[in-house]
Parts: sequence; structure tokens; C-alpha cells
Amino acid sequence: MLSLIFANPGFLFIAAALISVPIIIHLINRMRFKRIQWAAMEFLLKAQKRTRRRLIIEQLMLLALRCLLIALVGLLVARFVGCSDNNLGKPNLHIVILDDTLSTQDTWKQEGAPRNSLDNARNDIKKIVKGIAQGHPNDRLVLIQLSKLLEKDYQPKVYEKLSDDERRKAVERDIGDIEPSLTHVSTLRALKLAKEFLTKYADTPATLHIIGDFRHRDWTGAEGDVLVKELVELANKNKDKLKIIPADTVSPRREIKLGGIPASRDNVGIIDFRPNTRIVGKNMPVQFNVTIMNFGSKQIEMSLMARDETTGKDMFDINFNPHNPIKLVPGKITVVTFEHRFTEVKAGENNHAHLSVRMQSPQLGALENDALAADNIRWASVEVRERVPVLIIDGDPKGRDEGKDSFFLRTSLISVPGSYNVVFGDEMHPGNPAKVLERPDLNQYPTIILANVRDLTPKQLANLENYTNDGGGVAIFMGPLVNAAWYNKSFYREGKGLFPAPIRDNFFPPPNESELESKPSDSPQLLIRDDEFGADRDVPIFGKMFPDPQFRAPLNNLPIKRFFQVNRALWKKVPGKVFELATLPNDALARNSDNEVKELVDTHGRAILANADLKKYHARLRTHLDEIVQLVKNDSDARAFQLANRIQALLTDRGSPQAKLRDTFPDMTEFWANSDDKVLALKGSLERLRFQVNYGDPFVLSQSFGKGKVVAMMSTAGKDWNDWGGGSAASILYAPFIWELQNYLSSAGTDANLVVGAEDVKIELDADAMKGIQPKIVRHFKKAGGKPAEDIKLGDVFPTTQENTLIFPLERNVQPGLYLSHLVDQNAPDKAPIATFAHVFNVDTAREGDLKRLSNDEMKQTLIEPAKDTIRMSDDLLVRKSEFSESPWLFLILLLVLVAEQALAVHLSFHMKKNDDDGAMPRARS
Amino acid sequence: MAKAKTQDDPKRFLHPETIARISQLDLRAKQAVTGFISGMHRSPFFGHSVEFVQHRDYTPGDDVRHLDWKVWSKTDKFYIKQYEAETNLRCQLVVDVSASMQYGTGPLNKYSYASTVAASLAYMLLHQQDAVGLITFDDDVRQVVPSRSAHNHLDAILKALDVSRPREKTNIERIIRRVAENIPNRSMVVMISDVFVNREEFFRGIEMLRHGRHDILMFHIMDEDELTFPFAGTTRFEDLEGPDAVVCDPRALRQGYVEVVEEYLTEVRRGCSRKGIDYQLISTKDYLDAALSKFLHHREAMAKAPAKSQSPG
Repeated sequence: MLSLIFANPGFLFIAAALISVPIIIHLINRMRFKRIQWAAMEFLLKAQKRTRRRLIIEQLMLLALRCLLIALVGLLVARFVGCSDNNLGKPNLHIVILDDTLSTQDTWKQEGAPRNSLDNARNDIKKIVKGIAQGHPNDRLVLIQLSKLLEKDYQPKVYEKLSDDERRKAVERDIGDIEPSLTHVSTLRALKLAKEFLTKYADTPATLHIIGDFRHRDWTGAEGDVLVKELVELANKNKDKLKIIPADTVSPRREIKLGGIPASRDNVGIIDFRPNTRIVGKNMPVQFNVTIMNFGSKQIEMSLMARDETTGKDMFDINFNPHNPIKLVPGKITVVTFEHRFTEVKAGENNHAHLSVRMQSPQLGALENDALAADNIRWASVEVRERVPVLIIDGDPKGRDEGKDSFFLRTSLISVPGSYNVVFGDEMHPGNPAKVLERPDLNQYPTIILANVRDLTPKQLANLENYTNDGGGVAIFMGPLVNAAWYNKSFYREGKGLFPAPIRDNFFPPPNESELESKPSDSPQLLIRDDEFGADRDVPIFGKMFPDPQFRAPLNNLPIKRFFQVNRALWKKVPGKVFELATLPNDALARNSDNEVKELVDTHGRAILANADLKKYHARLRTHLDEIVQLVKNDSDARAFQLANRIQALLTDRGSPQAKLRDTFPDMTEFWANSDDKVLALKGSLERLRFQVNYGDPFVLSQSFGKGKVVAMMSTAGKDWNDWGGGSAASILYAPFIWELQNYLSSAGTDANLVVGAEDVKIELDADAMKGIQPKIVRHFKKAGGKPAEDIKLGDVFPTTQENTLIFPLERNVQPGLYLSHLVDQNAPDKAPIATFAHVFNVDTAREGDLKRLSNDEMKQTLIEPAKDTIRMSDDLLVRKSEFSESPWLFLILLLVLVAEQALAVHLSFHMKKNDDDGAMPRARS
Repeated sequence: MAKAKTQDDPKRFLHPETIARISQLDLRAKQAVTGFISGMHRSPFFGHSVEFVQHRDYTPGDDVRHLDWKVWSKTDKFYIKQYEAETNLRCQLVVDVSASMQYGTGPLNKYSYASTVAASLAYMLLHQQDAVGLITFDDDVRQVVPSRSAHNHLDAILKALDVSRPREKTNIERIIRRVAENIPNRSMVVMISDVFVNREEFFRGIEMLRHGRHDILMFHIMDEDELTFPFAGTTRFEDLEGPDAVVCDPRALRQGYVEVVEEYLTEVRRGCSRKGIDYQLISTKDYLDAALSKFLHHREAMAKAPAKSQSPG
């Protein structure tokens, strides 16, 4: 009970004992006295008799004052909290959310020694612990470590009774053992856990300490906004009992009053390193991309070095593009590529090549002025095979005949000498090629091609979806056998399935109508959708095929005879997930757009032609507009894409290069650059109309599915519905299309390049495929570090069965590097693994590398101001219960008692007066 | 008193500490008196000339009426004519030697101080050829030395003082009665005491002395501590003359004590004044010449008073 009223009840007993001290001193003084033989006893007796009562009263008062003084000091030291209901039985709850993510490795030198922001965080927590131990022994401390949230069933430690020395030391030991992790975990997850504790101890006054580096990346943007919103909501909802103290641990410490952005250190990091394919054939070139970000404010010059971690040897023969030393522009991403050929295929698990790249100074030493060292190295893995197997499932039993789908696909793939090993489904399962999809080893194929497949069984579909989800690539070619209803219902499944779009019930033109006629054109018959990807991104597949748009000329002659139309009305196109890579030109009649053309010519066109300032362009503009109007006349049979091309010609007309013809043919791009409102309005209307009339039916679509990719072409792979494979000018582009399609799809698996601790990794297998064996996964970690990677065996993983699927949950990895998971039979552990799964984990440089701190103003506006009473930055890390011992009244009373005691003591002459030594004491006068 | 004394100043020996170092009381008296009379006052003592005895050198302070102008006119030197004459002064020194006089914290306790004063006066008076007697007392009259003017009488007085050790309780009325009985003729009575007695009894005794037409001079000796009560710390005060004891914090009592002492001194002073007694309070901290100076002033006043009273007759 006393401990509830007093913060330091121990001192109370000491104070109680001390109160008796003045009495004891008094008694001792009475016992210890001098003896004086005295003559004037008469006067002494008389004086004593006369002053006895007053003296006794005064001395008792003095004694009482001194006892009171000690009692007050006792209250002060024992920290009297008070007896109100608010205090009794309610110890405080302190929740510490400790950011120990990768960015807290931010290292600087302090007094010659390296120090990171987690060192500061540890000190801050120790201060809190000390504060609790000294002043609030009944308070609870909950320590939520962000990196630990990745552990399964993580329960934060709750520390109680910290006044006990042993307990306090144990906490301090725990805190001392905390090191910066290599992971990224959102503070939001910790906040949710903190909320659970706040609910659990709902009646308890609480303090939430958020100790971290408060980086701009973590506290702004979509994720940061949610975090801030949640925090502010939490603060405002619990105004009465919650204090939130954000503590910034980066040096220099944040001083929010100063405004601006607190200084942060520069950092460069490799944010991505991956091959462009998951499986590579022997001697095939594989391109590795190294993406580097300079998060700092200064240009950095560095050299890249690759290392074969299997042998532990640096690969000095690698030619980086751009070559070393590489300049990293501040705030920009630099992509460095290099090509490598694996010239040998090793047996067993070693066919998983294990590579790393690291950043060094141009002198090949450690990188200078770089705050984080952990993001300067990154690992990747690629599976090397004699040949890359590609699985083709052709719905047509005669598909391998000349001119058919499989024929063209195989021919294209094997035209790369010794690279691809084309496997046909019907070779393994004659008559039912799709049954191959029920096998457990689909992951050996970087790409599976479905051509003219009618439908799949649910099991086959589920397996294919699992395969794709785990990083496989699927190409789908349509054909007359395709069951549109099944495709829509199961394959598309309202956007949740593998197929990227819903299709119409029948192909176009329908079987009872004749095929589309070949129309030689001066414009492409297939429109590459650059507009879907913006200026700085290549269109997948086609971007590689046509590095320059002028190479697209063969597409002018690409007869598409039949195809499946996408049902745009039902299409829920998910942005960022589904893309149109190529679209057929809009074959509708241009005159359908006559109203739009008429309106823009009448309103904007006429106004411009009436503007004398633009007279120079009037003639040419009029010519262009007349031509456009001609296209949409009632008797015109022009197609919509031709109208689009005409509009495009107007928008890009650069006039005549000859100066003498410049008056007749002025540069219309200058005209469009004019800031006149009417010009801008006309330009906008023309661009909209062009976009509207240009694109027809989607022809090549792509979709991300889990870690994998899907590409669908709406016509056949062979010559049944188009002449792409052969017989047209565009045929020369067919093989490159298939290669790039294969490359694009096989690059999907490289998403197995994971971020440490970021997500659950599991391997899912079809239970039927595992019949007869007792599967388990044996895990190995390849610990790299300058010598041949050390093999560290991790625990075995046993599956759980869920709806006929075996699920092997893999532990979250917090160490970056290559992890191999061998699927073996428990009954025959010495046999070669049935399959091997490789996962590479790397640090999340993209999220953790930017050390720029949240500006003081942002922090004030978004965090402090909206919850001013609850959230506050403070040097005093411990928000304490208000105590009477902190009350100014107690100090005033103490002061008054002290003054009264001194005054009385002086009055009673128990203290030497100033003049006593001067002989000026009272003297009887004769 | 407190002013610095030069090496040539004869009064330098009057410093109580210096005198305290002189073990022999007579020597102490000589030092005190010689220094005093040769430096400070003209002597007021002269007897009726009966028979010329000798000349002596004039000493500054001598009454110029006793200069032998004839000798001066012949020799141009000043000589004083001296006569053998009986003294006209009988002085009775009454010294309190009770236990309370034993108290003292300085170089001299009250008893020593009183004895020194008495010895000094005796020496001076005998030197003037006056008759000096001594009575010491505590709870009774202890020593009675009759008045004589012989030079060797000083030894008897000093001896009486020396052997008299303070003891027992003062009983003043009986003592003063005994003193009065022991002084048959009209005399000058110099009483040296701390007067730590019942004041009523004391004044009744004085009254008896006054009936004997004695001229009374009261030297009230008190130690400085008894006036200022400068003690600190818990102290047990034990009565020198009785079983009483008080344990107290002297600082707390000081103010009250000083007030009581002031009341007491006022009472004594007023009582003496009413009885026509010349009263002088002397602290043992004071220089001895304070007592002697007072005595001389008193003698001078006394000398003037009979002259006035005798001039008509």
C-alpha cells in the first residue's frame, strides 16, 4: 500500500527513523554536559525559573520544527505521490517501441569511436529503466523490438518491479544485447501490438516511447501517412491516460523547435541485383542488373566488384556497363549491367550459381562517407542447366505439325543453338498434354506455354497458379479450341485468375464469317503500347525487340485473320498489374467520330484561324483540319486508326526543312508549343480524340501473378489465325518475339530474390504428386564471406496438408544470402533431392537506405500539433505521475519551516550569533 | 584602560595579567601603587605637621604647598618638607573570602583580585603613614588585623590575606556586625566583596556600620563571566557555596540571566546609594587602577568634606 502512495517507500522508513534524530540529539546533549563551579547560582536559578515556561515552549517548538523538517524531507525523498484514487493501485505502463531496423546501423564517429543510432537508443531505454527503477518501482515496461516482430508468435518482454537491482540489471543486459538488425519492419506493426497492451491494461496510465531514427521514408508517403494517422488517432482517443514520446536517436539529436530538416548522413546502397532469367542454359548469356541508389546529397564515385561465392573468388573479368569507376548522381538510381556466361554445369546443388556484387571505393577499399555498410553488398542466384527447359502444352494433338502452333514455337526456341530444351506435354502424357501440369516439378521450367488449350482441370489450374505464384512464367496463345466460357469463368475469374482479361464468347470474326483480309498499310498493324509505360520504361518484350520505333516498320504488314476480342465492358483492368503490350489498330469507321471532329474544328479551330497573331500557321492548320474533316465525312470509308494517324501527323508536323518553303510549311510543333488558350484547348482535344480512335482490340496482354508473370496473345502461335509465324513481312520478328517472350517470362522467377525477414516464404506442392513418398525439406544456408561459401545446415521443414496441398513453411530469414531448400523423401534421405528451391535474401535497401530524416516542420504539423497534449518531444524520457513531492507547495512549506527553524534557533541562541566573537554579547551594567 | 601602554609607562604593570605573574602579593601591591601614585595623582594625603624630619625631592604630584621655598630660593631646587606626624586616617579593609569569591576565569579570580586590591590599598596607605587594618570573612569573621600605621604592618596584612582561603557560605549581617564591633573608632571602611548575599541582611549590616559613623567604600567585585554569562553548550552549573546544580543551555538562559544580574546590580547600587555608601562595581577583567582610582577619588572627597566642615570650627 505504501508503495502506491510513495514512489520510494524505502526512504519513508529512513525518514521516520530520522525524525527521532533531533530528540536523540537533545537527549544526548542532556547527558553530555560540561561542569562549571558557579558562584552566581542565585541569578541562574532565578533566570531559569523566570524563563522556564517560555524556554520549554520554544524548545518544544524548535524540536517540532526540526522533526517536521525531517518529515518533509522524508516526503520529498520518498516521493509522496498522493492518496487519490487515480494513483492508488495504478502503476504506469511504459511501452517502448524500439526501431532496430537496418537504418539504425547509421554509423558516425564520436570521440574517435564508431557509434550508431541504436547505441543512442539503448542509452535512452536505459534512462527510462533507471527512471522507473528509481522513481516508479511498480511501473511496467514493455519492450517491443521491431525486428522481433518477424518472429513467429513473438511476445514482447514485460518487465516489472524494476526497483529490484537484479531485475534492473537483467533488463539492462537485455538492452545491451540488442544490435541493429538487417531487416525492415514498419513501426505500424509495433503500434498495433502496443495497442493490444494498452487494451490489456486499459485502466493504467501509459507512456508510449517511440525510439527510432524517424526517417522521412518511414513517416511519409502512403505507409507513413497510415502510421501517423494511427498514432494520432491513438493519442487523441486516449488523451486522458496516454503520453506518447517520440525519441529521435540519430546524431545530431533532433531539436524540433529549430525547424528545418535535421542533418543526416549520406548513404549509397544496392537496391537490387538480379539476373534477367531464373534458369539459364550453359554458355547462354545472362544479364545481371545492379540497381544502385545514391541517397545522399553528394556525387559518389565507386567501383563494383562481383564475386562467385561458390568459389569465393572475385570475378575480375566482368565488364560492367557503365564501367568502373561509376559515378553515382545524388538522389538518382544508377543501373549497372553485366553479362555473364556460365560455361559449366555443376552437379547437385551447385548448379545454383551464387553471385554477389559489392561496392568499393575506386581504390578498391571500403566506401567512404557511407553510413550503412550492410547495403553495399547484394547476392543473387541463377540456376544453370545444360539447356533451359521450356514446357509447351498444345491443345491441338496435331500442333507439332508444320505451320501449327507448337511447330513455330519450337522452331523459334531451338533456333538459339544448344540453349532451349523444348518439352511437349503430350510427350509425357499422350492424349492429355495438360496432365503434365499435375507434376510436382514444374518449377524446373522457367516458362510454360499453353497454345490453343481448351481448358484445364481445377487441379491443373491450381497447380499452374501455384507455379506462377512462386515465380513461374506462363505464355498463353489462343486458338479455335479455346473454351471462352471456361477462360472467363476459371482462367480470368474476375481478375483473380491467371488470364489477364475476359474475352468474348467467340473469336472474331466468328467461324461462320470469313477471315479478316490482309490490308497492306503505311502504318503498323500492331500498335506497341508505349503510352502504358511512360517515357522512361520500355514496353516489356517489344521494348527489347524494337529499341528504336523505326524498326517497327515490318509490323505494317502483319495480317491478323482471327483473334479473340477482349470484352472491355467486363474488363476490370488492375493498374500496375495488367498491361496491354500491343493493341490492334481501331478498325471502326472514322466517320463515327464526325461529331467530335466537327466540334473541335468549329470551336477551337475557327477561333485560332481568326487570331491574327497566329496567321503564320493558318494555311497549314486549315489544310490539316480539312484533311481530318474529309476522313469523317459521311461518304468516307476511312478507318478510325487512319483518323488517329492523321491527327498524329498534325501534332508532329515539323514543316519543311527548307527555309524558302517555311512560309508554306511552317513548323507546327512551334505552333503547338504556343501558350495561347485556344491552341492549348485544340491540342488537348486532338490528343484525346487520337487516343480514343487509335486503339482497337488488345492483342498482347501481360499480367503479374504473385511472383510470376503471364503473357497472353489473343491469336494463335501458328499460322492458323495470323501470318506472323510465316508468310508476312512481320515474320522476321516472330522468333525474336518468342525469345523475348521467354526471357520476359523467365525473368519472373528472379523475384525469388527476397528481402530479409519481409514476408513468409513457403513452398506449396500438390499432395497427389507426392503420393508414395514422405516429403520433407532440408534447408541449407550458404554463408558467404571472401572464401568458398560455407554450407550451414538449417532445420528440416515438414509439411502441413491443406486442401490437398502440402505446405512447407520456411522460417523467416534475417541473414542475407542464398538459402537452398532440398525436397527429399524422408524414407530415402541419401537419394538426390527430388527438387531444389533456391531463395536469395537481401537487405531492403530501397526502404532502409534513405537516411534523410523527417523534417521538424513535418513532424510538428503531422504528429505533434494534431495531438499536442499527448504527443510531445522531450529530453525527459520518463513521463511521471504527478507527485506531491514535485509540488512547488511542498518546497515552499519546506522553505518556510526551514526559515522558521533557523529563526527560532537563532532566537534561542542555539546558533552562534555573528557578534558573539566580538565580545558584544549582552552584559549586565552597573 | 584598554589603550596601549608604552614601555616607559609605569602603568604597564597594572595590567592584571602582568600582575598575576608576580607571585608575591606585597610586591604586586608595591608595583601597583608605586606606579600609580607616581604617575597619576597628586597625593591628597598630608598630616598636621608636628616635627620637621627631613627634606625630600619634589615629585610631580606633590602638593606645592609643602615646597620649601627657602631651600628653592637658595639652591634653585624643589624640596618637600617632611614632618613626623600621626595619621588622621584609619582605614579598615573588609575582604570577602567566602567560597563564591573563588570563582574566576581570568588570570585572577575574584578572591585574588580582591586580595590584590586590598594589598595595594594597604601598601599605599601605609606608605602615606595611615593606619590600615584588615578583616576577612566568610560565614564568620576569619582574620582580624588591627589598624596600624607602622611600615611593617603590611606584612601582617598580607599574611592575613594569604592565609585566608575562601570557604563556606557568606553570612553578611552577622559578619558586618562583627566588623562594626572590631572597628571602635570612626574609620574608613573599604569593603571588598561580590555581595552574593541576602541583600536585606547586607544592607542591615551596612546600616550598623553607618551607625558607627564609618565612612564606607564598597568595591563590588564580579567576574566578567558573571556579568555576561558567555557559556555555550549544555552545562551543569554547580553552586560553589551549596548543593544546588542547574543543567541548562546557557545560551538559552543568557538573556534572562543578564536581566536578573542587572536587576541585582541595580538593587545593590541603589541600596548603597541610599545608605550613602560609595559604590564601585569592578570586573575582574578591569585593571587594578580602577579600584585604586576610585579609592583615591573617595579619599579626596572625604578630605574635602571634613575641611569644609572643619573650616567654620
